[in-house]
Amino acid sequence: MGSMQITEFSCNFIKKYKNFTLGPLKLSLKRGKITAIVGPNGAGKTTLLHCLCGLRKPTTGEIHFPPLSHLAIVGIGDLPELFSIKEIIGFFGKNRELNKSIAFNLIKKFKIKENQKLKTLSSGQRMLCQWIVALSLNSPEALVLDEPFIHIDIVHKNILFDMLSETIIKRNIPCIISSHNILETDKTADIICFLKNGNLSDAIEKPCKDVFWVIEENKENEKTQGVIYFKDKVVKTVPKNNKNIKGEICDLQEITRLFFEGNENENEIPE
Amino acid sequence: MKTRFLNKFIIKILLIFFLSILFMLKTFNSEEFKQTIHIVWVAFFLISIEYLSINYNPPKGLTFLLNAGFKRWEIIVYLGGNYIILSLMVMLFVSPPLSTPSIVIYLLFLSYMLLILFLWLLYGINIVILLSVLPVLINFAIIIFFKTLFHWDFYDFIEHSLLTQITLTLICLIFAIYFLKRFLYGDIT
Repeated sequence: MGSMQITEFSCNFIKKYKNFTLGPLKLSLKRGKITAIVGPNGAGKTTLLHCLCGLRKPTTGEIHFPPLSHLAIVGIGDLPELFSIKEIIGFFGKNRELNKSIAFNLIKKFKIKENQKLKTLSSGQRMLCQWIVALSLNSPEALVLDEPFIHIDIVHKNILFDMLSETIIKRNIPCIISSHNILETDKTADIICFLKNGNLSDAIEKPCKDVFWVIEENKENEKTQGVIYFKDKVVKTVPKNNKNIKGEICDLQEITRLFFEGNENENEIPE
Repeated sequence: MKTRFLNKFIIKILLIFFLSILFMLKTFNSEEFKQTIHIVWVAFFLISIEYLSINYNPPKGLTFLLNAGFKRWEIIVYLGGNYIILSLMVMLFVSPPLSTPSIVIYLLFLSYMLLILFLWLLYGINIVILLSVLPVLINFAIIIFFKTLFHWDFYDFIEHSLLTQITLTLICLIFAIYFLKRFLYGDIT
């Protein structure tokens, strides 16, 4: 496990279970950058993050990462539901350096009642409480976020996207974020890795534009369509009459398949 | 909200304290009284199970404590300390051997109160509830549950069979080593 002097945040390990193996998994996190692990449910994202935090022990290999007491986390574990956010802030403040003015500003911003017990808050508000604690910590060595935008509405999401990027750059710490939502990670991450069945793809660093997805106009029929590009090639188009255009564009299975199985329909790709 | 929550806890603790004193005063002999006490214990058991299942999810609680800056050994010492003291206390209350001087019981009580006071001063009321009161209630309840529903007299049961003593010690050791290993070296989720 890591210590205060960690300079390189990396891991190279295998975690074996009866029916699932994560890895061999080699990953290096950069300071001031957000690394996103994207994959479908059951891909091993949470297991990966738990191994990094020291909550699970890898079967073989090494992890150079700070311990949980030096991290800011969202979505890993939970805050005790018996307490209010004010009490939790007070509790954290006794053991770790925490900027209470930032915390209470965020509480105000997110319109959470500071004396209300967490169990009486909605799921989204409880997730926001985790964000409040994570963003208020003075000197975390890294940020570990497991599906951190789940249950959170779009207005708060946008606020958090901005705050996250600002925090990472300002503090020059690495951040790892897991998500199954490609659009969210596209907005926040600097580096994207795809995870499927325990296998991790090579890191794609922005702005290399290996993969991106846009809504654009079809030149032939002048209709709007969603397009996924992979290495400058169009791999999928979704016509406008498809009601769930965004859902189709972020069809994660399709994108992850590209990384792990190649594009079977390459010949059908439109020019 | 906080006051209401604390009041609930204080009432429960006082109730346990009060009942325990009654036990010690040997008012324990009347059958009717015993039955009443049993009902109260079962109620405690149910309350504790509620806390265990809804409010006190151990892995999540532990993740929270670790993230809040607690060291693993600290949590083990606090939880372990509580459990050891309370187990002894409960065993003595449930089946007090005649030879046990009441001073032992008072000392155990005193150490428990000191532990709570220490935690309270050091970390505030939250940690007392999380690390002390909840495990205590759960611990109390589980032992009383067996005593009440299965009429399992711990003291007699353990005292009169060497084989039982050895088996129980081994089981406890295996569990303790297993959980300690998991907690200290990962895979606590």
